[in-house]
Amino acid sequence: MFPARFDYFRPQTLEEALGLLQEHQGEAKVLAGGMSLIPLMKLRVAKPARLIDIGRLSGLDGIEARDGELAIGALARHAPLEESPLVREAVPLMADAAGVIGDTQVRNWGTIGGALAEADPAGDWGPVVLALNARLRCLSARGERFIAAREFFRDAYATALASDELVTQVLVPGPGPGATGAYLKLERKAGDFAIAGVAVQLAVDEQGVCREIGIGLGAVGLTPIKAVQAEAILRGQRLSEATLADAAEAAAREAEPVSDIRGSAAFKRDLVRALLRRAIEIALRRSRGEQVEAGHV
Amino acid sequence: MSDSGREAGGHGATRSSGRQVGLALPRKEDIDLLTGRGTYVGDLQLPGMLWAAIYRSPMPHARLRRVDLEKAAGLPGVVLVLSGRELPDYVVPLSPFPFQSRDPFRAGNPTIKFPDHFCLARDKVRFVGEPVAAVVATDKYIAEDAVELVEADFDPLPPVVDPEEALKPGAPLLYNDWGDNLFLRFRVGADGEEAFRQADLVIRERIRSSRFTGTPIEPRGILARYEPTDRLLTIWSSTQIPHILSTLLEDTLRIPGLKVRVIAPRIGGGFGQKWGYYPEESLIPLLAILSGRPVKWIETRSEHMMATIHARDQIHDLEAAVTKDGRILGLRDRIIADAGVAYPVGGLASIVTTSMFVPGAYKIRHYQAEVRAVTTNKAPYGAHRGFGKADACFAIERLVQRVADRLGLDPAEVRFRNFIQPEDFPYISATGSRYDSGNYPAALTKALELAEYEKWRQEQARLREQGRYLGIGIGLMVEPSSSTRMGSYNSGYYSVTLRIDPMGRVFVLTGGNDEGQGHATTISQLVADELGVPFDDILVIEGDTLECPYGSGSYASRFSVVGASAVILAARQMREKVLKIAAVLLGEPEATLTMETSRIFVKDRPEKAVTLVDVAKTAYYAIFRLPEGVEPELLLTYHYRDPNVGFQPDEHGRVPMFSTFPYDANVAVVEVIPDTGQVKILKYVSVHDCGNMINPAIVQGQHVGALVHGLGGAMYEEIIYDETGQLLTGSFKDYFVPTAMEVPNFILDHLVTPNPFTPGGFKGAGETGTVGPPPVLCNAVEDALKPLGIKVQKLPLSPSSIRDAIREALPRAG
Repeated sequence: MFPARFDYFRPQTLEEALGLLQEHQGEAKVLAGGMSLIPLMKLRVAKPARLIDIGRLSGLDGIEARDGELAIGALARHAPLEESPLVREAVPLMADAAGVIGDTQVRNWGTIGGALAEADPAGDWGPVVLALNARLRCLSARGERFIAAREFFRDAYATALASDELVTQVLVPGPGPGATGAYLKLERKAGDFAIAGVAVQLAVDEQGVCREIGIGLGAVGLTPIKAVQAEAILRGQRLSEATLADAAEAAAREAEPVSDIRGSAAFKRDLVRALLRRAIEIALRRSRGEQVEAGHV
Repeated sequence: MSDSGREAGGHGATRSSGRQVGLALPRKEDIDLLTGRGTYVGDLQLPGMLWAAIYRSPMPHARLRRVDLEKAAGLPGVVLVLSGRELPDYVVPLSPFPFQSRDPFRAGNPTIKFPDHFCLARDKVRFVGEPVAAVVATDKYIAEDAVELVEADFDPLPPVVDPEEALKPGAPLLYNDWGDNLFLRFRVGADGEEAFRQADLVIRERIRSSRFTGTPIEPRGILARYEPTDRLLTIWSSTQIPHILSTLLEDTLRIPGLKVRVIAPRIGGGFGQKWGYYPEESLIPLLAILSGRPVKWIETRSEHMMATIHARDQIHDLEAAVTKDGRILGLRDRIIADAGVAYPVGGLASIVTTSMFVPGAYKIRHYQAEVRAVTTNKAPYGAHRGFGKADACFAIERLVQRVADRLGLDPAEVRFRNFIQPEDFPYISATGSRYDSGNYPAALTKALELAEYEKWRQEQARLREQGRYLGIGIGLMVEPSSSTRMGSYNSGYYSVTLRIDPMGRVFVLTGGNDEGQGHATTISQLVADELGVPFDDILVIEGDTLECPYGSGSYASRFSVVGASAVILAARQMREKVLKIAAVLLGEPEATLTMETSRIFVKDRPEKAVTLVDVAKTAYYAIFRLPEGVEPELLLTYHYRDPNVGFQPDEHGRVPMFSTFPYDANVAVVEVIPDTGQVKILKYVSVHDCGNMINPAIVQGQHVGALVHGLGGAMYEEIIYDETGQLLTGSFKDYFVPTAMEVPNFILDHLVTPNPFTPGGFKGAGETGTVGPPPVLCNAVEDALKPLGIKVQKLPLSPSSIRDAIREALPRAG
């Protein structure tokens, strides 16, 4: 439980951090909240030669509405995201997810940018940013670029980020009229990783036709999965029992789970079906103005 | 090496007079523990102290070809490296004795084997996590760096993972000279042919439990110091058995004239796992001897999961001879236990215990069991809260559920028809134990009332109409306490030394040990009452083999049985001596005197008095005033022998080895959510009887903790090896220990049937709760899923296993 030797840097500015990242490319790990990296280092699963601690950089933890988007700083911690009135109002599924990540300590220390960059297949933010069609602002000493959530996740623990790049912001498109969502997961016990998680963002018009739909699946593949076929089944349709059942089937097919100690692959597909149905139901109730709890099943 | 201010004041809730026993007093220990002042092995520092780390086998089963420690030794800061082949000649294999006496197994027992395991593997490794080499360095970081530089070559051997496969001819062998993988075969009980002839039907069931274990907050830890001039080895160890450890070490490290002192400081939970004799317990002292400096090792959680004992994991093939009205006339059980590697850690005793107690709370006169412990390439099998008894209760309480289902009877009614009745006590069981006391029908009746059983049965019927799955589970678990194994270190006595100093302060030194049970508080309550001294004048000292009388430590919930009895009788003897001296000082007959709050007075003339200090000063300084035959000083040692155990098994292996029989009636109401497989516990009732209670708050704390422990085994915790023998649950990321979020709001009640065989009437209280939740929740889930015809086959009750069963059953059920 004692990490291997490493060099530690604590840059004072973003520029300094990007400079260090460029200088130590491939040998350095970025430390933000440390909720995953530090345990991995203590188990010596991760043995980075250099650690660049960006956890105390200022100005990277904002949560604000800007230019029709919700701009969330990469260092925003989970707990403030759960509590933010702006987030709860505009994108309640983000508050759902933030409230069920790990335990209280993890939510107080862990950051949204760190969690996304880590790309744990069972992470909660992955399905949420996929459902929301969010973009990630990424900076390096070479400049700035924006990566769509769908392009970001490449493999388990692997992303489109270059080794000198930092995620600095999560940009969520402003929800259209009546749009809302829900995130649900089942875990073996409080604080555990999801056995499966489903994020839904939708808008239904006055005729009951689904105008907007985003579905993200977590913990059922090497990366979080955007359930595009299920989305296509629902988009532009009335949400009848048959349509919902078809979408749930499609999402279960799009999932690529493996059997592990948390459950069989068949079980995880069943969970995708069950959680998708329930998340849609919660989102619909929320769109009617009801206060509904989500997060955990 | 005691805690700072261990007896600090501030116990405002204590009474200055009147009986203390039976009061829910706040624990003396809590101020230190809650303010971070408890001293654990991990807190200890000695000058010049070094750190050890252990290279463990990554292979489940392999020949050890070569261990190269050159690179590790070359790392700056590394002081010593050691492999199994470099062990000094004075190191002998870990002794199975006195953990496992051969004697109790002789009757009816053709097979028991004891292999020679050294503290480091020499030729072969037999489980993932087996110690192979050790490094000692100036700090813990360097020690772990050095472990990464150890190079070991293995020739893999086929792993033995499944215990039933392991028994087949031609299976790979862990110990070649054994010729098979059978560690122990033991038979108990007489043939019940007659019962099976009389039966209306024979019900056969296979009941299987899972591998699970204790997870103390503090894993194991050892600090060792060797002083060569005196040949004195001092060990600070997180152990339940300091005296036994000292004896075992003197027996394993055969340095002429070696004396071992073991000190168990604060222990962060034991749960049976610290009742073993592990390789590290001789390895770390050996490293201290070899390096000439104090050496410390603190187990990591990952090491704990792979190398500290596992438990449960039994297969029971049961046959019950039953009548149509649900009476069980006879029972046969064939038990297979997956015993892991054959270390001397007490697992065999737990397996034998299982075989003794399968009849449980029921008057089953014809009972026969055969138990086979099978060695496999897994961590050793050992003691775990509920020691073998949990497995017995799991089998019988699941079987009774199946009997009720088969006969279409109410499972509560089947229990009432088979219970040992209150007038049957003391009851001699089919395996020779004498059950002390109890009232099982009353306990279950109370539990059913508290659970509102009839109301929930109606609710169940109503919800079934709507396609919802509500279930009710019942169990009455008898959990024998305070064990004795004749001829083993666990020899059925408990010693207490009582000392009153010249200022009247009372020191109680016991041969026991505290891993969190609250002995300082309960012993103070007992002594305050029996002796007549203030609670806060009493200091309890345990866990130091140099200071305390010899004893076998804490296990089998024995303190409140034999420990408390020894304390009471020691205090009575001391009181007699004090009154004798006071009689001289007061010039009054001894029989007219009494003592309260350290004041001795004539019963009907309270003003005629002396103080305990007056008496104590006489005993130490004015010995010329002592009456004839009274020795100087106020010091005595009392040895209490358990009167309700036996030492000689009969020809059927029957012997009373547990002395008291607390029990717990549980009723659970659950709803199973069919599409997610979740089990929601709507209600959980426990009616517990541990006889008289010394401190009801402590009993409640232990009982709730135990229920949660059992809930873990029922629904969350499972140690899993894959088919190659690799451990899949090596950390808390994968081994799911329940948190407060998972714990239902237990509804608790107590019944008190005092133990007639001890002076205080107490029974054991620390383990009973662990036993109920696995069978009771399985019964509840099976009851809920009855419309689908699902039989719960495995623990834990994970959403996946339940949903998988439902998915398979749904097409069948239409």
